[in-house]
Amino acid sequence: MEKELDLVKYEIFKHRIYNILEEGRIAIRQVSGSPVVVEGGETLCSLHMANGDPIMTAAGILLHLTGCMDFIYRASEWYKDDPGINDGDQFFFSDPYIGGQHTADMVIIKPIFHGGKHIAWVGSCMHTPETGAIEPGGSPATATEIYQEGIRAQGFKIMDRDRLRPEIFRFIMAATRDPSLLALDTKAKIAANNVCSKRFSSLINKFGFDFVERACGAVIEESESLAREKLRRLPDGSWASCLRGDCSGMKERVFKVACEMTKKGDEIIFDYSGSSSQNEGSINSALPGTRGSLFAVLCSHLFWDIPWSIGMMRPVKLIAPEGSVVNCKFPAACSQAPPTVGNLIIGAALECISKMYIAAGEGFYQDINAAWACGAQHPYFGGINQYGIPFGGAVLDDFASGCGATPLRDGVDSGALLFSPQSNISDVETLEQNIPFMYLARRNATDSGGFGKFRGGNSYEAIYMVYGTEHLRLGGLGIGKKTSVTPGIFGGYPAARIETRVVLNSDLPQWFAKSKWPLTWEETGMLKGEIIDVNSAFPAMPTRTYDIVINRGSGGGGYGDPLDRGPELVLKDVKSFATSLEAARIVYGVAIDERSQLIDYEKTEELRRKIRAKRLSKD
Amino acid sequence: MAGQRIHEYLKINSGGMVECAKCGREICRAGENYKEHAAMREVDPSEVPLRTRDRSIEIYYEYYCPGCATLLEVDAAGPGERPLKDIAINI
Repeated sequence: MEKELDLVKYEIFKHRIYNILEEGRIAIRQVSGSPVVVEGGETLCSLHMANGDPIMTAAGILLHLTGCMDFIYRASEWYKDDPGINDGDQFFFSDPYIGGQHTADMVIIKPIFHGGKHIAWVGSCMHTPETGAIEPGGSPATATEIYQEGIRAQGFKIMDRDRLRPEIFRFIMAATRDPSLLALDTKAKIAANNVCSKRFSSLINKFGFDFVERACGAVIEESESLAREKLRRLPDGSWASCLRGDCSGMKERVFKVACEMTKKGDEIIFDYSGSSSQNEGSINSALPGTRGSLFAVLCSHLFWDIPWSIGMMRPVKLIAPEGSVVNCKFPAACSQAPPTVGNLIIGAALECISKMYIAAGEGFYQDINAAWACGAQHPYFGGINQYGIPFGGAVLDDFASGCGATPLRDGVDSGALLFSPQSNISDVETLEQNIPFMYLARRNATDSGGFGKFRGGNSYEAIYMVYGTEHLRLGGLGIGKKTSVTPGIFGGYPAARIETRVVLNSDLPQWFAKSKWPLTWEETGMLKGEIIDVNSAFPAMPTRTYDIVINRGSGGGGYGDPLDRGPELVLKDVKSFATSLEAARIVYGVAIDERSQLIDYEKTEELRRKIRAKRLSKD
Repeated sequence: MAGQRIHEYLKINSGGMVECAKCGREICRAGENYKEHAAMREVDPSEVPLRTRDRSIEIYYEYYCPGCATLLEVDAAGPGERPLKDIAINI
C-alpha cells in the first residue's frame, strides 16, 4: 500500500468517505419523520465495492454494519441480468433471512457508476416502526412465522434510472398501518443514497478513478491487517459466558445464549453452539442478525480503533448452529431479535472480550467494560391517533438504558443500548405531539444498574397514559423480567429485572380532579382498574384514553465487589436516588441515617464485617 | 501485579496456582475452574432490590475468595446448574 498510494492523500480520502456517509445519515434524518430515526438516530449509510464488500460504514446503529452487504450480494446474484442493474437504480429490501435483524430493518441500495461502469454501491438502512405485521409496531409477540411479521421485500427496483416507480411505492405504503411515515422513511433512504453517490462521484473527479479504486481496496486490507495485529497482542485462551432469556415471544420460556470465545494468534472464534433451540415465537435471531449483533460488539469493544470494513471480520469466525435461537430456521419468526437474543449475543461476547482484556496487561485495562443493558422492553402500538389518522409504532425509551461499569468508573446512567450507541430518546413533548400518549413521569430508575465497586448505569422508568384515542392496541417486546439478562463482572452484580405494568379502565380522572397522578411504580398500584403486570413480551391489547403504562428498563452490569465501593460514593448515589437506602445497607454494607443523610462509619464497618463473615459461613 | 492476571481479583502465581490478588490465598491450580474451589453461597435474587423474584427460575451463585471473602463472581443461573468455567487462558 505504502509504495502505491500517497499516504497523505489516502488518509484524506478515508476521512472524506466517512464524512460523505455521515452526510447521508444527516439526509436521512432530515427527510424521515420517524422519531426512532430523527431523534433515536437508528440509521446507517455504507459504501461498498462493486462486489458488495463493505469499504466503510457510518452508523448510529451498529447492528446493520453487515446488513447492506448481504442485500447487495443478493441483488447482484438475482438482478444483474434481469431486470439489470443500471445507473440511477435503487433496490428495496427487508428480509432478515438475507440481511438486517428483522422486517422492520428496511434497506435501499444503489449502484454507483463512473464512465458507464458500475464501480461501487451505497446503502442506507433504518428501523421503520411499522411493517404491516400481525400486530402493530413491527415486532409482534404473537408471531410464530415470518409470514406474520410484515413486508418481506426481495429487492423491489423502487428507483428505475432515477425515476421513482409509483406502483412499487404505492404497494409498500399500502402494506402497513402508517403509510405516511413509511413514505417519508423510504424517500429518506433514497435521498441519502443520492447524496452519498453524488459526493462519491465528486471524490472520483477530485482524486481520479484509479486512486479511488485502489484506496477503497486499501481500506479493507488495512482493516484486516490492524485487526490481526491487535489480536496478536492479546493473550491466547478461551473465555465463556452464558446468559438467559425468559420469554419465547408467545409465552414464558427460559432459554440460553451461550458464547465460548477462543482466541489463538491472529484469529478469534465466537462459538454459540451451547445456545438453546429456537423459540416458537418471535424471540429468535436469524443468522444475518446474529452476525450483525456480533459485529456491533466487535466494532464498539474489540475493533473500535480500526476502520469498520469487511476486512475487520476476516480474522473472526462465528459458529451458530441452525435451529437455535441464534440461527433460527426459516420460516421462524424473529421480529423481536435486536433487543432480545441480539442483546444477549452482544452481552455474552462482551463479557468474554472483557475477561480476555484483563489478562492482556495494563494497556487494555481501560477497555474492560461490563455488559450494557441486555434486557430491554418497549411497548408497541397501532390504531387511530389523536388526529383521527391510522398510525403505528413503538416507544423507544429503552434507548435510555444503562451502560456497563468499568474498572475505573461507573457505567453511564440512561446511556444507550450497545447496538445503537449514538441513540437518543425522544423528548416527551415530541412524543406527545406525535402519538396519543401523555407522560406522567420519566426518570432514571433507582437500583436498576448492577451493584459493584463501580456500579452499572441505571436505566429509565416511564409512566404514561393513553390520551386522545379510544382505538389503540398496545403490546410489548422484550426479555428480562424473570431472568437477569445483564451480567455483572468480577463480582459486580447483574442489573435489575425489566418490568411493565398496564392499568386498564383506571380511575385516573378522579386523581386528576384532585390535582394528583401516580408518579411511581408503587403509586400505580393504588389506581383502581384492571392492573396487569405483563410478561417480558405481551400481545397487543385494546387500550383507550386514561389507560396507563409503566415501563422500567434494566441497567448496565456492575464491576467488582460492592464492598470495595467507597461509602462516600454510596452516599452520593443515595442522595441522587441512584441507589436506595436498602441496597446501600444490604449490598454495599453502608449504614446511612435516613434523616441526617450521614454515614455511620462504625455501623458501616460492622455491617461489612458481618457480610464478609456470612459469605464464608456454612449456613 | 506480579504473576499473570486473569481476573480483577485473581492471578496465576509463579507456582502455577490461581491466587487471590488481594490476600494471596491460593485457590486452585491454573487450568482448573476456580469456582469449584472458591467459597460459594446460593443467594435468592429476591433478597436484592429490584432483582428477579422467582427462585425456581434463577439463583445467584456467588463465589468468594476463601481467604478474604472478596466477591469474585455472581453467576445468575438456574437451580442445580454447574458453575460455568469462564476463564481458560493459555500460559
